[in-house]
Amino acid sequence: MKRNRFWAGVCAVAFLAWAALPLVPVHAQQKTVKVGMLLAMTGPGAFYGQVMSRGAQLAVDQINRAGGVGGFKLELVIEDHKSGDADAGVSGARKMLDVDKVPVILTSYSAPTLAIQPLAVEKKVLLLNGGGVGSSLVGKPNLHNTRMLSSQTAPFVVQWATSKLKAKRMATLYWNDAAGQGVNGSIKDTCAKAGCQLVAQEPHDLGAKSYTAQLARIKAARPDVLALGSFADDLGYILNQARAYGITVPIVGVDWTPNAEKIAGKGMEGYVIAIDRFDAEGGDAKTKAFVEAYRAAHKDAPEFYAANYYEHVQFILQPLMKRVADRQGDPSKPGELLAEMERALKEGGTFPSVYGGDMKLHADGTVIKPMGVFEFKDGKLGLVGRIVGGKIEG
Amino acid sequence: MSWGLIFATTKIFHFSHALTLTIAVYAAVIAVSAWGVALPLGFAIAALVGCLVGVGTELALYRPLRRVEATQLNIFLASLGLLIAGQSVVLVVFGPQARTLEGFPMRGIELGPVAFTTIEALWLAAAWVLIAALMAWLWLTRHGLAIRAVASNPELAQCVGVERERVFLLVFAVGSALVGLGGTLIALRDTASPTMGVHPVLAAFIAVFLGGIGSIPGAAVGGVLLGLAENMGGLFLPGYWQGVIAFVVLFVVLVVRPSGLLGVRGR
Repeated sequence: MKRNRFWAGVCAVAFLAWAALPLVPVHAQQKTVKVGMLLAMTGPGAFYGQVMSRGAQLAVDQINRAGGVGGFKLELVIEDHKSGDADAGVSGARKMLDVDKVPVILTSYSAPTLAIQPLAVEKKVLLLNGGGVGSSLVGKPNLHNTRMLSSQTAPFVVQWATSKLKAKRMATLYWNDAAGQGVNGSIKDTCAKAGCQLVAQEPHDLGAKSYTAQLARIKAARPDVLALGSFADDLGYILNQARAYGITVPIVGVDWTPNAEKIAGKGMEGYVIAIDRFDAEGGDAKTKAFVEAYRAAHKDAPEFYAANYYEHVQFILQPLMKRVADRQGDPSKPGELLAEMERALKEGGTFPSVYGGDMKLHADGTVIKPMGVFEFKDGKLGLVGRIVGGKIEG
Repeated sequence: MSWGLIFATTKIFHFSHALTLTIAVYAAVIAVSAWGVALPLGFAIAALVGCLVGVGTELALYRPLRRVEATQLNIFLASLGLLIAGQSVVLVVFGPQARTLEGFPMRGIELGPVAFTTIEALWLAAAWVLIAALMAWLWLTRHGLAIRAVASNPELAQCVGVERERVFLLVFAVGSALVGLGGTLIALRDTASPTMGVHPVLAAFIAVFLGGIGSIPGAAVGGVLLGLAENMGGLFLPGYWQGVIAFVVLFVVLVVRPSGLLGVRGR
């Protein structure tokens, strides 16, 4: 009898302990804002996912170490869109929206971003994109881009080709998705206005690895300049193969990654890009602090993808969360950060930036950031022209 | 040819051949890039590792499944599962980023209007040497005769003393070593990544069905035709149609000649 009572007591204590357990995490969850990230963690664009998550994680760690924002800590929830797979993107977003209940998603790539945007509208979730460049990302409710889009950068590729390289005939090779088509469309329009002829337009699948057919047609079209609307590792394979197949004309584009550089090897020499001008060696005190912290954490200098997602958390979400907390709101609730973003845009949409100075977000979802033209020469990417007032200087 | 050899002999839809390729290539890449091993030795390592993975898959997965009389579908699903799980392990262990395989210079070669690279010339030469060697082995040796006998009629082969299980093990060893070599050749130009095996193995499926199921020379003919159709078609159609061209060719061949080009018509 005594034994039975003993076991009944043990069971009762265990039950009470079990019942009390959920109280702790529930309490903790109330004080945590989950920040969703939809990135390319696998596939040919895995480099992007790695550096973007590093940038955001660095900001989250810094904010949490400083005590959080208005009593709220931050936590990253990362899902993989497998380098641009819209279906994988939607699955990942659904999990973040329905299970994790994130109030904000930091997204990347044009196709997954466009695919999840209606879900974000439905759930009143803020979307910040610092990677996708498709011109179709403009004017989408809830979506704010902190990277210059293809419609903003590609015209300078044409300007460089026609003014500096005196090109009259251009060819394009680009990703067959919203981002690549955006670049191609923008080059096509600008080329027509500049009086140059687009002699070949070749789309390719993402992660194709072999471009023999497209390069053969481009070579046959005899362009003066080849413009690329391809990204990630594809860029490296294209540069490598284009040079090997005897395409000797200058190649220009809108992207560069260290991994593509590794794949391209000597094929990257002379490659010119027009891109958001993040300078890890320059900038202001914010830039220096970010670069130092990133180097300390990863033994590597950050590039602009890491910078974009760092400033998403550090310079956009943190002030928005503070504004919500200051008016006794709950930033972990969907709709709160989004509403605060809309208010911030009405007040000018200016946020600090690690590019130096401030960045200005517009109501149509675009951003204005410093831009530049870079050339890969002697094994490194160097600034060859600043873009000021719609013109390339230098 | 490697997948065709295994499929023609064992009738196993060996989808995890893609995993064998990937693991063998990663072994070569690590040996060459991290340990500084010479590239030819890297090829030998890929062949050995491929052989071990293939034999291991046969012994640990397919043979036990055959013992419990699993259906072809069960075996296919097990193979698919192994591929998915294996790719995830490769991803976790080696990371998602592509790894380059150094050691062979990539330069352009121009013959009139035709341009190709030194690596593609190596692919061509190596492919024909390996095909010739495999054919000679299959047609001139007793082991080859046994394999062809099992591929042609396993029951009859068993009646005349050919041990089916040993032949299966042999084709997995040879086929997997070949895919290790082939994968390493691919990695010279296209780098190594966790999912790199899927596309070549999918192409192999199509080539085998094109050439004729059960025909080992048919797999070689199918492969050549598929490559020609994809690349020649790419000159007239947008490049992203290349994948579609392969399936259109397969569809046409299967409609016109369901047994494939060199396949044996149903008994």
